[in-house]
Amino acid sequence: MISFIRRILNSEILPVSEVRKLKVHIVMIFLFIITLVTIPFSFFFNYSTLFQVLSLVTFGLFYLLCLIFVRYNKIFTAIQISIIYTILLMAFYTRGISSFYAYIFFYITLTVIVFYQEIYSYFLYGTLTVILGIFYTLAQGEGLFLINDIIGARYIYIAGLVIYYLVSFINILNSEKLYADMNLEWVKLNNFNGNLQKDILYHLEDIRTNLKKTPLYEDVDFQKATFEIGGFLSEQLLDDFSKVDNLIDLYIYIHEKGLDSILKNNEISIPMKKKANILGKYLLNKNTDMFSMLISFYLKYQKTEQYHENRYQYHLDSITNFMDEQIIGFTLIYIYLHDEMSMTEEWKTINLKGTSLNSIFAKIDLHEFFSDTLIDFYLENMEKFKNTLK
Amino acid sequence: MKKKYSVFSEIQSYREQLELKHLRSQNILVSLSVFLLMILTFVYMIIAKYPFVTVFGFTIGYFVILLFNFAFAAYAVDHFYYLKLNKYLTSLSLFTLIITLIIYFKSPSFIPLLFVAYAICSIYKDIKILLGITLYFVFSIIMITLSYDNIFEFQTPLAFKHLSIGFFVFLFLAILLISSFIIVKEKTFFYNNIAFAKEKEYRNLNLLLEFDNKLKEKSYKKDYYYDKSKEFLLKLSNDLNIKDDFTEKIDIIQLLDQGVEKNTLLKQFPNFNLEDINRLQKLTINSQSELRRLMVKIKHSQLKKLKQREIFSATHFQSFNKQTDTLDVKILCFAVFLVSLKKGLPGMKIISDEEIYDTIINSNLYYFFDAKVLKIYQENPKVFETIINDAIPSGGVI
Repeated sequence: MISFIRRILNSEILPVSEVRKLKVHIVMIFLFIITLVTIPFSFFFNYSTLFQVLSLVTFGLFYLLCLIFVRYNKIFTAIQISIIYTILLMAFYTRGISSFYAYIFFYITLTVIVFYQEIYSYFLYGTLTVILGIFYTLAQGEGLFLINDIIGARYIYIAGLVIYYLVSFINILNSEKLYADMNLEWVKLNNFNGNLQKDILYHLEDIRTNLKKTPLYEDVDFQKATFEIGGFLSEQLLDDFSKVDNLIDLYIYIHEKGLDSILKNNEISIPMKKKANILGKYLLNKNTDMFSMLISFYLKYQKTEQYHENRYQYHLDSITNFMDEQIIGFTLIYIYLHDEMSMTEEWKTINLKGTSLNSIFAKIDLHEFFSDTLIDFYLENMEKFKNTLK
Repeated sequence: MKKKYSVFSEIQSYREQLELKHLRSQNILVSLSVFLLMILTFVYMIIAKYPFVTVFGFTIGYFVILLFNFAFAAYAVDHFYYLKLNKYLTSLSLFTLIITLIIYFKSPSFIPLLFVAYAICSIYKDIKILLGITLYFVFSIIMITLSYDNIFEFQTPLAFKHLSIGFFVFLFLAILLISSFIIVKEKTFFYNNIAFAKEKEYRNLNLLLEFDNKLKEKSYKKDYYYDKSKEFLLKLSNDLNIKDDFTEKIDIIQLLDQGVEKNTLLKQFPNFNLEDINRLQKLTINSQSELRRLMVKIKHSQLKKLKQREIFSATHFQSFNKQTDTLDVKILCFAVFLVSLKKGLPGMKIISDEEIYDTIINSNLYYFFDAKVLKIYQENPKVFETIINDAIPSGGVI
């Protein structure tokens, strides 16, 4: 339970798929509490005992179904089931009694649907909920009013529900756009960092070769320390101590033979190939999650200048506002890229050899780096750039 | 639990910048919602024939909230923090206005407008606001129930009236608070990751330029770049029949790159002042210049076309605590990570045991490892140190 609460409190470090799962768990707990409370409340409803028992059994079955889908990681289906479950529960309350607390159920249902932040689900189930809510207020809402209530109270209830629905819809649309934009930006940044890290990896390899050192994974001391640490941890956390030893053996073997050759080798068992595939994300000699995390650690100790608002500004405009100086900058960049393209593989960096400058420019968003005027200038004089700077 | 610090301290500032960037659009949505409430309240009161003074009073109430919104949005052009202040003011004043409506009309039909106000305020996606309005909500419901008992005198008498209504309002509030909290956290996930990736990009570029400086600087034909650009731009000026303003500036840039003092250049080029020289220095192509950063950035910016599946997959999330990984894999990852840091990467700074321990345990990197594994490390740092020191007698420098 503590770890569950901790997961909720630290959900900002969980990826989207994990958060979705967490949401289903929260809704399941919530529905469990409501279903338990429904048992005593159902005595006040205008239902026969048989109907009450059948309804509670149906709720139990739906709950079980939801648990099964969560267990087998079918989260989207589990979401749909939990929403339908909430709507059924809402219908059970609102068809059984005319009261203010039954009316609150329309809001509870809308909130559960909003929680999942799925546009189509909200549009489908949310609209259905609002229609049922309006129908309830018009046809069965006598329990909602005071003896001397204000004029048009019925319509205020309806307006409240409709505005809540609309505001939540706007909120979902806004979140959807916000998350889609941020997700794309994040993925682009990750790809860019991946490109940079590829170069960093090559450079580190060059430095190691120059120093005539063995790769880390081949180093006997490194292997010994890894086995010892792995052994110490597994003694306390696993029943089978040898599991981690075998895994480290496989890990070193992948470095020596290469992941592809292991996956293609018919003599290696399927479970081992599966393990090898998982370990592929954590290799030391490739641009993997392991390498990236190690680099992040080292970057923490890099001395950098103090933060200022334009720290991440990479636009030529931020270097100079003068058009002639921007043209000089652009020309120098053009020659640099042109030179990189024709550079021999003296250094194992990302090599542009064999690609054309136009194809490089076609793959980047020029507006990210240059002003519209400068881009127009380049497009007008593209042939001159090409011919003179051959 | 002690709050973990960010691996890169700059993240906090950029996160705030991101938050403020989105606040403007959120503010517009809130203003529109308040405007909609204002129109509906006005229309209802006119149709229900309430006294003009009351109609006017409530309309002015909404109008003041909107006015503050516009004013703060305008001030925010100069100082973004006005928008931050605005969201707190709007949330509190909207709630107060709705409570005033409930007290004035003394009808339970207005209570759902508190739910609407909550939904409007949650557009801001701010935890402080959520907690504030939740407390306000609870407080106002209790006060209304205690002060205006007849507000729940429904036509159909209910068993345990207050208890049942209170219970369901509490349930509603609980799910509303938890759902809004998680939604805010989802946003925070992206803010954190974008800010982290941005800072990492900045530092990766620094590292790459540092490597370039060490390994490749001699192979760069800087003079060739300057001469070639002079030749090209002179030809271009002639072709376009414009004055050549380029050559002199490139000469200055080239001299700056060769290390010529700025005072000497000021004497040699009297048409240029210190500000011009400082600006032109940014256009040199040595490894510390801004133009060189831009060059490296553009070189690595060729993005492959992203597939839809790739855009919305969790594969971009780098962690040693993936739900799909088994515990033995998590143990291996931690062991390899720790020993690699201790052993060190060639060409990189040596990191001390204390720095390694502090960053893993006290920074937000903590969340990227399995909690059970880290608990053992946290409780036995000396054991880990001894194991590694025994296995790596050389002291860990590769």
